[in-house]
Amino acid sequence: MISTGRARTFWAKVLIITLLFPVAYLLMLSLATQWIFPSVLPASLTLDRWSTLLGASNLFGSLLLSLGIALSVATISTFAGFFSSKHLAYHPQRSLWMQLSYFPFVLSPVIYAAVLYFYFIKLDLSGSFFGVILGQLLIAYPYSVILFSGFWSERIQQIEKLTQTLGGSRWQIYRRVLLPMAQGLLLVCFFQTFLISWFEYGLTTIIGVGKVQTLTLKVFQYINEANFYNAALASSLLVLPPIILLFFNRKYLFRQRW
Amino acid sequence: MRISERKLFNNKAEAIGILLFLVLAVLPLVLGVIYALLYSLGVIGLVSDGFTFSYWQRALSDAEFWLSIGYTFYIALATIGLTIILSLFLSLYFRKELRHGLPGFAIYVPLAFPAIVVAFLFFQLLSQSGLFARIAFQLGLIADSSVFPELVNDPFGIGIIGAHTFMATPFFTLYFMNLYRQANLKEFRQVAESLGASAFEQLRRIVVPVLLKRAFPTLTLYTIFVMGSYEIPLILGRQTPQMMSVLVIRKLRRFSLATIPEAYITAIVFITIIIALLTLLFKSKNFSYDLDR
Amino acid sequence: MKTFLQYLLIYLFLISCSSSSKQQDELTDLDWEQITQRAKGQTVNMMMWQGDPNVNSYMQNYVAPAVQKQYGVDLKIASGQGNTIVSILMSELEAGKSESELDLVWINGETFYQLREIDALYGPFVSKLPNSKYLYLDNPFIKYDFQQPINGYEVPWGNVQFAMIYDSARVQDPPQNRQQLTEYVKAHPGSFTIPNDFTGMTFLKSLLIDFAGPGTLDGEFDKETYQQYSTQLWEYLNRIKPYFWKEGKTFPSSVSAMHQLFVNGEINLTMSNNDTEVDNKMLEGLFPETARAYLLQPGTIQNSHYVGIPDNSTHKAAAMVVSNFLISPEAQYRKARPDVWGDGTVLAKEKLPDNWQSKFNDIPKRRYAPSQDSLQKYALRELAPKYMSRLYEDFRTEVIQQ
Repeated sequence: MISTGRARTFWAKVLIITLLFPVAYLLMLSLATQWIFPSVLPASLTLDRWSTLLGASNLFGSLLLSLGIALSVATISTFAGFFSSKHLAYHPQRSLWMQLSYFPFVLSPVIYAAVLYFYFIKLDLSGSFFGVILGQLLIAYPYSVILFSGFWSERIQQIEKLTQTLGGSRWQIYRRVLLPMAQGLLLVCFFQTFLISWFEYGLTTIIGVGKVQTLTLKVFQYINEANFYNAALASSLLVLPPIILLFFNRKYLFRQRW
Repeated sequence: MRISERKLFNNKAEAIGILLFLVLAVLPLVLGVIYALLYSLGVIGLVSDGFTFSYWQRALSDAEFWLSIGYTFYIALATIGLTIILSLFLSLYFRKELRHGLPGFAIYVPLAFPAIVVAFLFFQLLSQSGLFARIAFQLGLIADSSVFPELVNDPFGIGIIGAHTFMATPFFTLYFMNLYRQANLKEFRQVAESLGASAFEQLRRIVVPVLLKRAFPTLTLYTIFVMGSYEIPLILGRQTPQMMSVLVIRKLRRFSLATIPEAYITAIVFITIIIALLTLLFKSKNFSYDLDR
Repeated sequence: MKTFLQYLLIYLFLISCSSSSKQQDELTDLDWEQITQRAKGQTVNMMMWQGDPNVNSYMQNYVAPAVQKQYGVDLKIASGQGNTIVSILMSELEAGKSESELDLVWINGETFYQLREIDALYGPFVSKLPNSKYLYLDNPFIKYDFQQPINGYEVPWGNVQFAMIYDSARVQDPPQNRQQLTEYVKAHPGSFTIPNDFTGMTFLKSLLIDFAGPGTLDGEFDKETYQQYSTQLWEYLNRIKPYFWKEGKTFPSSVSAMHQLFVNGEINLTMSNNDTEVDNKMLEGLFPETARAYLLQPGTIQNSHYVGIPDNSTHKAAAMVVSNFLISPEAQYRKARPDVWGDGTVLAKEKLPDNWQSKFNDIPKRRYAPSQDSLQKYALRELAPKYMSRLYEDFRTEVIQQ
């Protein structure tokens, strides 16, 4: 019994290393001066690349752009989804709505963007910041609707009705009752939709025509240029914020259900 | 899609809520399919001559088209198969460790990786001049980079499957752990144990079937996700066969303008496959519309 | 529902039929002073291939700040190759959009051909640019883009010739022609390949010309001639394919990927459309010190690359100002330096003022690239654009998918 416990602890350590290794690798690659075959370790490390980032480099601009887009998409989709899902859930045709919301959710964003590109041009949204936000919303909003659908149960409906009979206006119901009750789920949804936007590449390339240069586009450009060090830098910028957020919220993670 | 004509909306708020949904979630898909369909039939498009089935004929008789469909299914199913095995193992074997502390945190880390970074990472680690090859070289296991096995840009999509599995396994490990708790499997196992079932039998007859049955909808949905993958096969794949998303974009941006309708045909077929799979899923008894139940 | 669909169909049909409204073009009436005035404060959205860090650095760190400082033009660059540019401009025309997303595009060959086919380029405008007086337009390699006269619809930007690159430390006797290539790959399996992109197709074109003999493929695209010689080309390739890298079952998707394989030692030979690339990459520290370049016999393709302005661009004045800067002696000189880009100039040295002539003559001599004289001796003209598109497609069906 004890030996299997020890074996398991050992393998758990192996697991941790396997899971954390990618981050360490990306960081090291972004700091390396040169790291080619057959060296297992980089020739040396340098902070130059990271410091030019903080200077007037368009990598920092991309970071801000990605952040701006992701925050917008997360906010809009979370609240619009929360609001819509209530009415969809209470509607007699609930099952129809739910079924419909799955299609854009699982559809490949790239193919979705390819067939909609024409309309984006006509609406003068192609190649624009707002066009990209709208495009990403088409993916994040259905996800939000699906995520919140489980929240609107009989119980919630009754609490709503109760608050109404107690004289609460619709706005008060939201502010004082529904939003606080859904707090955990709202946070999860915000985080998830933020990540959906933060990580998006294919749809952003097509609708943004390559002009809206988010971090993911930069990673791809560097890979194309075969500049693997910069690609690792851009990747680190993509990956580190969510990880840091996760780290500081780990207690919360362990409590809430997925 | 006949909506009851009677009292459609009870009040303004409901109207807005549902219209918002229709405009953001339903309308774009309908518009997109219509556009793709019209283009593929030659009705619209700069280089089209008018209504014709010729593009469809050409696309459907192209071996590469069918190869792409088959390859897409293969990658998705291989990924999900591997993911199921790995996540079941991790969620059950490390059930205690993964609930808190460093392991509990580490399992979330891969979820912070977007597809494009995972593709880049796998390329860096697994290519014939990548990190693993260099370690093998230093250890004297291989004499030259060309001796190292082909793990990316290879005919079996090993790198692609690996990358997708890397993304999927942490997610499903956490998911299975959650399901385990929700289904009260601990209690069931104790009952089974008191009835004389061995640990292995408990797993085989209770735990795994229950987990798989409950996870079936999410597993199907994730399979569909993988089918639509773009960045990973773009970076880790070969020129042929290609997954469907990659094929659509490639045909859309060709030097021969005549293949553009074929790109839309591939897109329509892909969307149709997804609709078919989703419809089957909705009809299955295991399905409920709530993601975490 | 049915009527709705009918109306939608009609609407979409009408959209596709209507021609894009052509704006009244007053630019033709303005003189250069006025154009420069109008350009001030405008943004130019340029789309170009961004596969080479030196090229990107030249544009981002030299051209962009310079045009901002000298003309008040904000140059923004987006990544996209020829086929993406055509796709975007075409979609805009189909949607009846009168304001293009792009103002300046880096093009040549079949991209130019297709853009002219759909009438997406603005022109003729080249003669309006003051610096066009320095252009070496008598040079057939510059005046004709893949056998098409440019007619002022695109501005020549650079001129290069295809060269093979090898590592002299690993390869003592690089193959000089088709027959030697066969022997080479058999003797060194897995150390040679062809990229599935513009550079690779240029290589194939040289081979095609080799099969067909000089001059046979000149002029417009001829289907039978193409069939005849391409069949021989594919047979040849399929015969030696098993000795390629990865047994010829897959090919690098870009020349930059191929350079990486070369640097990593996976392959011993690489290639480039730019004859000075070897100097450029060695100075950068990417290629090993032992890299050398040479020309294949009976010759390799010399071609020029250009920039054009989409017809629906709303910042044509600024785009013209940027184009003019790109062909200015300073910009061309800097571009030609091997430590910056190493891209051949399109300016006629005799037409330049004396101080510039000596500067161009003093450019650090190419050390590892083929000499200037041998370049002209072995220069082949580009073929008509359809050859390129056919090669792209047939390489896939006849070689990759076999």
